[in-house]
Amino acid sequence: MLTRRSLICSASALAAATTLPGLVRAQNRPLRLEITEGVIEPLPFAIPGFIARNGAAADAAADITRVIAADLRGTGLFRQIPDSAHISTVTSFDAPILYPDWQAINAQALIVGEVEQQGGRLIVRFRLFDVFSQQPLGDGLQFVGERDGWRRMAHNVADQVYERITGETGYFDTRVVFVHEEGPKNARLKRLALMDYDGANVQFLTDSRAIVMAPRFSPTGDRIIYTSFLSGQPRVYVMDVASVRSRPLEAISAGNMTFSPRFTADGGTVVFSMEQGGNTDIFRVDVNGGGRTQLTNAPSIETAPSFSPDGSQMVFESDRTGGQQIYVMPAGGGEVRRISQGSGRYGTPVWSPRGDYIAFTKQESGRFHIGVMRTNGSEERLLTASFLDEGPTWAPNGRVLMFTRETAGANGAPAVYSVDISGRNLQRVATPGMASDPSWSPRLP
Amino acid sequence: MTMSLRASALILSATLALSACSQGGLFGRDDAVDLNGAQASGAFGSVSDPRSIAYFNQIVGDRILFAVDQSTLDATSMATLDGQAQWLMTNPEFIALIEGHADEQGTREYNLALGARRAAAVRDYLVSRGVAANRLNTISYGKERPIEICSDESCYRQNRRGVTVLTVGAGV
Amino acid sequence: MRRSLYVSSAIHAAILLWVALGDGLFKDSPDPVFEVTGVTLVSTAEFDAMFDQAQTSAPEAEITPAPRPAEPEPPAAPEPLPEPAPLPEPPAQTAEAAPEPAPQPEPTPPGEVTDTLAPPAPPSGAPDLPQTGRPTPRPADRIAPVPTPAPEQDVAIAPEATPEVATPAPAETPAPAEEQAAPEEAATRIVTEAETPSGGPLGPLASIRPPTRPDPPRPVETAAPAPDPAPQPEPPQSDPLADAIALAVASAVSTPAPSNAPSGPPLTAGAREGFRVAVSTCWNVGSLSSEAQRTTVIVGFDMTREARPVEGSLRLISFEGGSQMAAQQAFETARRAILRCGATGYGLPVESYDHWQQVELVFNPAGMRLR
Repeated sequence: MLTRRSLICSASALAAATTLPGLVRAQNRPLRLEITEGVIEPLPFAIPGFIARNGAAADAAADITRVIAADLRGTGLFRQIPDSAHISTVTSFDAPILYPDWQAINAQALIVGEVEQQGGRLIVRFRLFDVFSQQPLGDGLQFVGERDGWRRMAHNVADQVYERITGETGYFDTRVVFVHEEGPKNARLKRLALMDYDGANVQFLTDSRAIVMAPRFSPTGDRIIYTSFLSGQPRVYVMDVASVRSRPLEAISAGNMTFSPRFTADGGTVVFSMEQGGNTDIFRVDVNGGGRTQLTNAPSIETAPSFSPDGSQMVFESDRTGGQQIYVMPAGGGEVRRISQGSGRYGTPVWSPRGDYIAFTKQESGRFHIGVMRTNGSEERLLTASFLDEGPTWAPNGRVLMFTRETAGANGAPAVYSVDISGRNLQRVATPGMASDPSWSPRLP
Repeated sequence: MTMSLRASALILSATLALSACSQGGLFGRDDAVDLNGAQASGAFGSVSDPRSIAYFNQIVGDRILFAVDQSTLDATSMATLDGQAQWLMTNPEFIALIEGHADEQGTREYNLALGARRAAAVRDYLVSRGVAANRLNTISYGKERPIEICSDESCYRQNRRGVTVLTVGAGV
Repeated sequence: MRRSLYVSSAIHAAILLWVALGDGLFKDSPDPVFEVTGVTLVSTAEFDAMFDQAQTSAPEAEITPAPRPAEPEPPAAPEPLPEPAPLPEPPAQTAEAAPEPAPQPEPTPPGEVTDTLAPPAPPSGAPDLPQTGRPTPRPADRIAPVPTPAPEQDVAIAPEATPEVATPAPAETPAPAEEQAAPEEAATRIVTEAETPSGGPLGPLASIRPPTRPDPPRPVETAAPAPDPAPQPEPPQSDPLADAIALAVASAVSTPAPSNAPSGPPLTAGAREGFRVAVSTCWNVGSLSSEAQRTTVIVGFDMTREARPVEGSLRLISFEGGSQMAAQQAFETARRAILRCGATGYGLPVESYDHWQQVELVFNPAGMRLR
């Protein structure tokens, strides 16, 4: 980073900086240095087992501690210092923190908590400490909930810790809708399923009668939109998550396939692809049906639309120049401009919930990649490489992606993976079986 | 609420399934079953009977293959489709569902669109050869129903296909 | 034909039956309840208030029923502390009595789903160290300006390589009685899977950034034995160019201040650089939000004569490029760096104390983004 030239520059700048003020007032002139080089490494934290305030809470305390630690470790941004290395023991939630003991093992963050069970309810309290600054990071907090909801309470604590240290919104208290797969490759059974972001609490939303694919959460998380072959033809359905009831998005004439649905940013409308006579274009319709407008009109395949969070623009893929490439156009129609610049084919663009990046699938030389680029196509960065990666979905904080990775061969199987947008921390999400097409929910209310 | 709605959904789909049968199974098919595999000759008549489905499938040829990312028809494909058109016109009691498929080397939704484009190419060609358009329907399976499951070109080329699936139409 | 009629009627019958049974076949459908637990947030103040209330008498609906029932455990203190008391003078706490971790509910690691989310195996004892003099970037948990090979397995990973700041000053260089520790393995930048040579040392797919600065005083001693591919010359200023610059800077710096000059010789370029590097090795920008990674902060603080930062003196002087909140995050990270690496002193020459009693460090992460 620091090349010789820049060293010279900074050295001379430094010389200038130090001489000039020197002429004015020398005494008490602070020494000023610029730090431009740092390290990027997981921040070490310690989380002594949460104290069970009563016997009934013992299991919950242990479980909650474990889930919080797993959430934080799973980000790749934090490293847990094993309990065996701890010098101090925390025996009371309100006991003073023996900072030197935690400094000695290089714990930079310390999480202390307790759990109390009252009847069917749990009370979880925690505090977070900056060990080297010897002060609390934020307020102590208390969460009250049903005993069964312990996982969500743990995720909420972890979200708090994550937010206070990184300044980024947490994403642990979230769910993911995905396609659960069973059976041999040439006769796959597929069904929609829901899980916590970490793979826990799997629930099935459909049976396996019909092929389903590419579900998406609504911006508020209360609806799921997806494509199903239930009627024989691929067709878009909307499901109400609370009641698990589905209905076709709108009445379509037989022979027209609809697929690739996404909610717009406000959740009021849906964009999707419709095929007519072999040609596929993108349409927009009210989520309750009706008011259909055609957004693209070309003899090529236009699909995989995704709206910017402010609703002003739409990114989509098209093969109008031959292979799949990524294009952006104003939401209300207008000039279409291609943003994917590199070689290879680009598909499944997804606008980050923060608006700053577009994630995509890239296919080149027989390999697939998940990547991100700026919304004008610059700063392309490939995060993964494998036989078959596709279909990224953003965590609500725009910092992590999940996607489908499928292995090659007759026994090839899909699984869901996650990766940080820096390309670090690639890992498989623990689903109960084969899984594909994840879509991340917003933060749960 | 839930119950009644779900029940009506069931009835609706069941009705669809039943009526589909009477219409030749256009839309009521169970997707979980691979319909493109080697079909048992029994239900489709004998290969030696030129008016049988078995004859169509095996002698005329029920499928054509496509190049990577393409939906254009090469000479071999056209020859096969000429035979299909001929057969369909001499056997007017049959209708056809044309399936478009893609190999696994592509993203899921794009491949669905690509399969539709292939199916349409087949249909359009058959129509151009004189088959009535209302006897032909199309569907795309994208990469959801490979017939060969290895991850080599040898399998991929078999999977990039358009298959003409016959059923007895109007008659019944 | 007849056969198919039978088959057909059987299927139809089955479908009708299935419709009649309805829900029975949907047993695996989820409970149609998207569970939302009521989770309430309470601030410390409220929390403590509730505690106090509970203690005095008024039962707060949310917490403990009325007067606390006989506590099963020895109450730590009669009164709950608003915040745990700051350290030095621990009150007559029973807490420390037991020095060994006994009564903790051990987190049981059953084969629960979350466990599989554990981070990838730590890069300990990596057998495939690049053999070349120039390290090939490879994925590592740690990204640092200078690559460090993975240490031997049994060497404790030091929080940071203890910077022995080589200064011309003889004075009080901390005796390197430190425990043997190797710096943690580090790559010079993030290496994504897309860049990782599939299956082995096929040579770098990505261009390697040039080795960075001209080797400042380096962290001491690697316990990591033998072949150490990382260029880590011990003696500072092995680089003639750096020497030249140092000279230039030194002369520039030592241009006589007119009057009222601080006493003592100014810091040499080497000492400055050593100080800078020492802070750098503790400055972890990895856990910063992307906005905070675009925020430059200036942190001011005072130092003791032992070159240790005075804890209460650390303050955010100004920031640029991000919101107040991002600046706070960036400041906290900078503060951790200064305090953590300054815990044993920065080893600056005491005769120049006037020149470094007050320090302002500009933390500019621009170059660290998306490394």
